Amino acid sequence: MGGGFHLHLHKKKSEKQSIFSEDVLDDLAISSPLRKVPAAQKLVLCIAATVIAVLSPVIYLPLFVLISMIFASLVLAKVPVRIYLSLLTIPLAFGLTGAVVLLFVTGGGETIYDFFTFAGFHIQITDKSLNLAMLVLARTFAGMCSLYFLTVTTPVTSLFKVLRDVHLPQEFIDLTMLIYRYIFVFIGEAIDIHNAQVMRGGYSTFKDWISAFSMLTSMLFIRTWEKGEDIFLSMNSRCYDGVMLLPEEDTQTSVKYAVIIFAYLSLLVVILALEMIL
Amino acid sequence: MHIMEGYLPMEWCIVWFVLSIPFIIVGLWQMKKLIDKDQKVLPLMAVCGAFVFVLSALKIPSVTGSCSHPTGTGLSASFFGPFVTAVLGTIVLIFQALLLAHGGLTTLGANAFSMAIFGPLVAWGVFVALRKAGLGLGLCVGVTAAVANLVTYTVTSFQLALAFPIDGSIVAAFTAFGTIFAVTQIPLAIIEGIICALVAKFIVRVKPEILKSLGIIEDAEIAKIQGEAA
Repeated sequence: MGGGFHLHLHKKKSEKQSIFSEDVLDDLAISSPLRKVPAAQKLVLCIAATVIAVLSPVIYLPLFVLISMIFASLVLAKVPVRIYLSLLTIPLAFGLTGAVVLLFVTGGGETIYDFFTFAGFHIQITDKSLNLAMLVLARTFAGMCSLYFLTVTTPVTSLFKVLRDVHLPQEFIDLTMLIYRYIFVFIGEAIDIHNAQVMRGGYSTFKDWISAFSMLTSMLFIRTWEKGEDIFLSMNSRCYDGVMLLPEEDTQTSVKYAVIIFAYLSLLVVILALEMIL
Repeated sequence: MHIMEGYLPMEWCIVWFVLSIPFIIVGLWQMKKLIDKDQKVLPLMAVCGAFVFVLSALKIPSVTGSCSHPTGTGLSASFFGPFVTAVLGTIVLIFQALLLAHGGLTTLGANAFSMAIFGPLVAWGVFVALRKAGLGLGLCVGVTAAVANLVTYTVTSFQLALAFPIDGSIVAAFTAFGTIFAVTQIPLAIIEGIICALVAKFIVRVKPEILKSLGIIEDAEIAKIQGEAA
C-alpha cells in the first residue's frame, strides 16, 4: 500500500481509542448524595485532613485518614466500588514509584537488603528507608483519598462560590470559571478531531503519530482562539462589566455536617497529639 | 511532573507556596492591566487556559511503555510570556488536581513553582534570546518547549531532594531523583519540542493573524514559512 496509508483494524478489542486516559471526576460529583453539603465545609475537611495526615510522624494517622476517607466516599457518597478502584490506579502507580525511589535511594539505620552500588549510588533497603517509604506512601494515599472525597462530592461550580467568599480577585474567578467551562468544549473538540484523524489512518506509525498529534494541537489552538473571540462578542452583547454572576447554590444550611466535620477533625488532632507525645 | 498530594512534608509545602504567590500576584496584576486596556483579553486568556489543560490531559506515548503528558507550558510561555503563564498554569494545576487527581492541593505551591513559574520563566528567556538571534519561529518554539519541560523536571527533582535528602546530602538526593526521572523526561522533552515546533509552523500556515496579534512574528517571516509549505 503506497503513500503511507495504513488501516489498523487488527488492534486488540480491549484497547480504548480515546486519547484521554482519565475519567473526569466532575460527573460523579454532580450526582453525589453529599452534593448539598456546603462546599466550604467539604473543602475545609479535605485540606485539614490532608495537612494533619502529612504532619503525622508515624504511619497510623495517615492510615486512619485513608480508611475513613475511603469509607466516606464509598458508603456515604455512594461512589461505585469499581469506579473508585479505577480512579485509584493512577495515583497508585505514581505513589508507588515515588515510594520505591525513597525505599532504594535513601539510607540510614540498619541495612536490611543490600543490592549493589552503581555510579556512586548505593542501592539498598535499610530499616529507616523502609519506614520513610511506608510513611510517605501512607501520607500520599491519605491525601489522595481526601482529595477524591472532595472531588466526588463537590462539583467545581460550587467551589467558585467559595473562591468568591474568600475574596480572591474577580479577574481570577472569572478566568477560572471560563476556563472550566471551555475545558469540556475543547475536550469534545479534541476527541472529534482525533476520531477524524484515526478514520483517515493517522497515528499508525511513530512519524505519523508526531505529525497527526501536532496537527490536532494546532487545530485545537486555532479553534480555541476563534472561540475566544466568539465569547467576547457574546459576553459584550450580554453587557459584561467585569463581574460574572454565579447561580445560587441549593445547599442545606444544617449545622449537622459542620458538627460532624468538626468532631472528625478534632479526633484527628487528638490522635496526632498522642502520636507526637508517645 | 506533578508532585502528588501528601508527598511533601508540610514545611516544604509552605515554602513553595510562599515562593509562588508573588509571581502569581504579579501575573494577575499584569493581566488586570491588559484586561482594562482591552476587554477581549479575558475570554482569550480563558480559552488559552482551557487549551493548556486539554493539551496536558492528552496522552503521548513515552519510551518506557507508559503514557506521558505534554506540559503545554512551553507553548504558553512563548506565546503569552511568563507572568500570564504563571496565572494560567496555576489555574490549570488546580483543575488537574480537582478533575484528574494529578498533583494536589497541599503540593499546589510546589507544582506551581516548577511547572507554572520557574520553567516558563527560563523558557521565555530562552525564547526571547533565540528570537533576538534571528532564528526561525518553529525552531525557537520547539527549543523553548523542550527547555520548559527540562527546567520543570530539574526543579521538581530539586524540590524532592530538598524534602528527602539522602543521608543528609541534598546533592546526592538531587542526582538520584534526577537520574531516575531523566529516563522518562528527556525523551518527553524532545517529543514535546518537536510537536510544539510543528504546531507553531502549522498555525503560521493556517492562521498567522493570531500570532501576529501576539506580536511574536512579522509579515516577512509569515510569507517565508507559508512559502516553504507551498
